[in-house]
Amino acid sequence: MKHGEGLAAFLFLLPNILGFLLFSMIPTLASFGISFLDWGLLNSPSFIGFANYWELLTDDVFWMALKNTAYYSFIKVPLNLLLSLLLAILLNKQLHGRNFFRSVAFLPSVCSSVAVALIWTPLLESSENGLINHVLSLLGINIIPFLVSPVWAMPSVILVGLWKELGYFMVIFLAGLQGIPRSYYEAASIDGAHSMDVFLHITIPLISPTTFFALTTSLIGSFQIFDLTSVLTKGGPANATNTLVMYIYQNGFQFFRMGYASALSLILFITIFIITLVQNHYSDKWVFN
Amino acid sequence: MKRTLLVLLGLVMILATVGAQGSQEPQKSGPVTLKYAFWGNPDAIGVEQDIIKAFEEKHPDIKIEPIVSGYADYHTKLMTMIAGNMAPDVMRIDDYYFYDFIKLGAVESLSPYIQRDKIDLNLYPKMGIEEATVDGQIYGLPWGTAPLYMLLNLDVFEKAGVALPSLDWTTKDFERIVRSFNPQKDKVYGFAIDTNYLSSVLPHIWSKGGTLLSEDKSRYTGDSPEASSAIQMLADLYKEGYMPKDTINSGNTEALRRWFSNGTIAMMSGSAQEILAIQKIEGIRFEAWTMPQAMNSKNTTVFKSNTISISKSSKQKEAAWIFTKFLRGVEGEDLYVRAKRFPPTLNIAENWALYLDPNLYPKQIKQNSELIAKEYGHTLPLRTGYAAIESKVIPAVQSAMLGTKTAAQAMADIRGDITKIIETNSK
Repeated sequence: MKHGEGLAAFLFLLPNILGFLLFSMIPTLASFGISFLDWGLLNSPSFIGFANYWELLTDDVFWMALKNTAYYSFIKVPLNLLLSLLLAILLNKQLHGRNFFRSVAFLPSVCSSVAVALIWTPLLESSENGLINHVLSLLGINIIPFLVSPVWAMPSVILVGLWKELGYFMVIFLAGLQGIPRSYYEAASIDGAHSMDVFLHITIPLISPTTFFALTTSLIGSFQIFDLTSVLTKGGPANATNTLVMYIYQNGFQFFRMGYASALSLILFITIFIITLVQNHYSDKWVFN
Repeated sequence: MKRTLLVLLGLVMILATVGAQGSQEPQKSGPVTLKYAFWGNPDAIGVEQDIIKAFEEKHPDIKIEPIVSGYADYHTKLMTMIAGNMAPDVMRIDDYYFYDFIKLGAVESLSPYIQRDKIDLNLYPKMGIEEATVDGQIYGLPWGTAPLYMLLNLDVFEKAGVALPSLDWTTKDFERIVRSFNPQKDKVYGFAIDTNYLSSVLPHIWSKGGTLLSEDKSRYTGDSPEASSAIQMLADLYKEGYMPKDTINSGNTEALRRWFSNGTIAMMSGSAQEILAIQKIEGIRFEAWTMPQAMNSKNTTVFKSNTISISKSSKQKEAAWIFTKFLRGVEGEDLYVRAKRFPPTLNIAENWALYLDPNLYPKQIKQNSELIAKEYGHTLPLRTGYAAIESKVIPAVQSAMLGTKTAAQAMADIRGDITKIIETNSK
């Protein structure tokens, strides 16, 4: 590096570094400190040690929210990856109207989650007034209590989440698929490889970096699920779709318990951090470099 | 080249610093500017702007800077503004949160101003003043004080051949009427409830003679046999199919209005805002009624208020008081009522003539509102931590409706949590 280049690089990076420090790093550290306080935003904060964390251990709603968040993430993410990969493979073929279908598939991901949830709420009504149940009833299938049964509510939220995100991850996988050199497929074809073997031994390994990226970002995003459940179900019925971020929001901005909300945030941060570490650790075993 | 880039970057930073300093010029002398925070949809914002304009014409030395937000985020933003030393001078507070703001010391007592200016408190609804009073001090003037009515769809009643209840109807009448409809055959339900809000559930608890909190709001009483029986009644009606399945979906509150308007449900609880929205549907015939009552008490219809308050940290309290008086005085009320923002809330009988449209339902709203204010009204058990208490009761009610627990079990299971919330918020 020539003299002065380091300083120039630093100055160019400075706005971003400042933004990161001001809006991410310092608030994260402050949140860690606040988690040891009893603080209602306007009153004087008082130090209460680990009391917020002890309270978490006996808070049924916290455990339920954690379970719901894990349920949403660990069911939605694999389905999301699988379906978006299949969609990408389909729309990577030479089809009539391919670009149109790609655009249609991508459209939901540019809609706001609130708009998506508002569209789906009446579709998922648990009577014949709901479009999906109306169609099911025409087929002789009983009404499904999509958003009103604790059993069905979370799968319904997952369904809406999938609909919204498939297009985005389809584009990611399309980029991955198009990055695979054609020569590999030609060589496999000359060797007489079966199409399933080509998929399993060429496509899957060569898009593994893309899959790893999609898995990591999708899982992190899923653990932060808030907007969809907030509009679709408001965490109900009976907390069946209450998630960690929603519970953080409720404690912080509805009950004005900043200390407790910060403790919850830290737990969420640690959970995501551990999952990401585990993913990174095992990535060597399946991500093609 | 690099040197040029460095120089350019340096210049940009210097300019940015100078620009930032330039924007911090001292406040010019001249008219006082007050920040006024309120929530509202575009229609409501228009009404507020008209009122602000009328005020500024009358008081050219006071300018009003509106700070407006949708209701959903309003109190969060307000709290954040106060915490960031950017509190508005005058603010509207929903009474659900009012006691939290008082406890946190964000609101100025208006009692000295009221006494000094000899404000006639009889002008305001009694229950609105009660809700705005804490430890003998009045912290705001009531805004939008109105009942949460039981709305009856007259066409649905007529079509089903079900007689309208009397205003003195009891919880037994309510249950009988709901069961008079036959959803399986006619796809019409007697009733739907908004399970988002305690204010929808409490009238039923009161109508069975129960309460959620003790009279001084220091103890949980929602697991009493009376309160539990009310929740069980709602649960039974739901499980037996007399309410739409989606009534339990908290995210589907808009659906209630849709069902009521298209004749899917005969009854729902609704605010004055709800009435305004339903009135926009052409040809709809409906009435605003009392809630079913207990044998020994008529006071079961929620009478809910909001307040206009002045920030404790306002540096222009005198001007803020002048604006508050205008907003909640005869002139402000006149403008709100003419714009049909809410039914008349001040005790000025002539104002009803400004609000009522003889062509629109509910046609008995004047008589029934006055009756509710006089005989049937009941304030909510508002206190610090009310939102946290609500967050425990609503899932319990939903559990009972889903049948995963009996109402008695569900209401008893939250005793510990609510007691803890009360204790924490009583410190």
